[in-house]
Amino acid sequence: MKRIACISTITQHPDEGDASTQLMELYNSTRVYNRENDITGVFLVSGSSCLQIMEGNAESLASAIYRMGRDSRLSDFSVVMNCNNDIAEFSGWKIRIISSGANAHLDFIARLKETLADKIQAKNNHDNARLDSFFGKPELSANVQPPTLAAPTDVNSTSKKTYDNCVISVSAWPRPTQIRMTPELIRICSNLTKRPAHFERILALNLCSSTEKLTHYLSALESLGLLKTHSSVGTPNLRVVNNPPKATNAATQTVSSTADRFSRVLKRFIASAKA
Amino acid sequence: MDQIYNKLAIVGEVGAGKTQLINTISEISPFATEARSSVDIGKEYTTVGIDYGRLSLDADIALGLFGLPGQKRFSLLWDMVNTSLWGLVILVKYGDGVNIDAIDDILTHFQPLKDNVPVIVGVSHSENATADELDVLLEFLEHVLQGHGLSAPIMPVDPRDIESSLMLLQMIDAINNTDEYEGAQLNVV
Repeated sequence: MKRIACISTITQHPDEGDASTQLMELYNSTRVYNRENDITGVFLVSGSSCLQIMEGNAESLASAIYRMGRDSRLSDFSVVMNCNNDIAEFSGWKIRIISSGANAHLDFIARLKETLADKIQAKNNHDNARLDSFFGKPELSANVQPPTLAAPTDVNSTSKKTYDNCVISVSAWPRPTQIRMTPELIRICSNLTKRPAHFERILALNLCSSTEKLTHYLSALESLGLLKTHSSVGTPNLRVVNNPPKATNAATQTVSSTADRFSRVLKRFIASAKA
Repeated sequence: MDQIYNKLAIVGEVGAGKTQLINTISEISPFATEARSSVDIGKEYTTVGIDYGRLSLDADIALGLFGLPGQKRFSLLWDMVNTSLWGLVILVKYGDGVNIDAIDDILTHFQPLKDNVPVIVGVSHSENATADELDVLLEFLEHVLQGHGLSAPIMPVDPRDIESSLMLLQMIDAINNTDEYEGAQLNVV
């Protein structure tokens, strides 16, 4: 099996729709072709730079490269890796959009950097600059996930793990293609998305019917690379689970009680509508 | 006791299912502002103003449902609704690519992060999409949300189905009722 990486610049055609539509069409054309030719890998986009890492048999990859070189939507095309490999790194053909200033796919990029970056050879400064837009970001040290899309996770199949004494947060909402959303999981994600809390606090909120179920959901999120654990050093308030502070003034109390009342009757309505 | 009236804005492109969603949830026949399409958009009528529906949850508690066209040229209508929102649902139609610029316009205009309004992206017409196909759309949607500093749930929705439609309300309710006490307020980058 061969592995080839090529970097290119995406050319915008103003008369062919907005940039995202053109990018999606470009990716979709590679997706169809690569599926028909058993090519796996990843289609990385950062700004106008596009890095495609492909695995497959030599003949299929050669055809894909030839096709790409003739695609008017790509310019400054350059092959930056060409090697043989015994083990496939990718299970499908995915697109990953790297945003400057955002943390999306940091784990994924860190993993790629760890396994592949030393095999990637820039041919010139321009290639180097474009590769930097993908690999120049700081990497996360922990919780690195394999660069494949996880199959939908069954919450009952995740291994049992304890989060006692952990401060946890969820880095992003899971995708519907990763895990089935349930009311309990929605409540967990709502409370933890980008907001760390001590496990004991989350437990005290009774988001799930049992501690075991909460732990199962957290394990499932962790297996998807979405659950982060944080140091509780210097944040002693994260351990406080009882006696939440009273609303400081009457206006705040009114807003809070109005929201509570609305939520209560909405929940009752939804439950009766589903019954 | 005071009356409670919350507003849910449902914004989406032509054919995404805004009118249908309101029709499914609302207890009243939606006050619809549909007009016959002048061009072929795959259906005879399309929304040209605000669709309005209402869900009475109790004698003095109601949720107003406001369906709004997704194009920026209708931002005057967005302004009419965009005050003290309980939630913002962006409906995206699966199938013909995704108009990221339009979603970007909606998020720029509504500024849900600044106003602390929960956002949910519902993907309609995705019943026959494979996980791989859906994943491509999700990648683009997450990208545009991140551009606005948002992490929001993205879920397939069938606006014809009451359970699927109510799931949107359930999600917004959950986001609105998160633990706001001191420990949970530390933001992480």
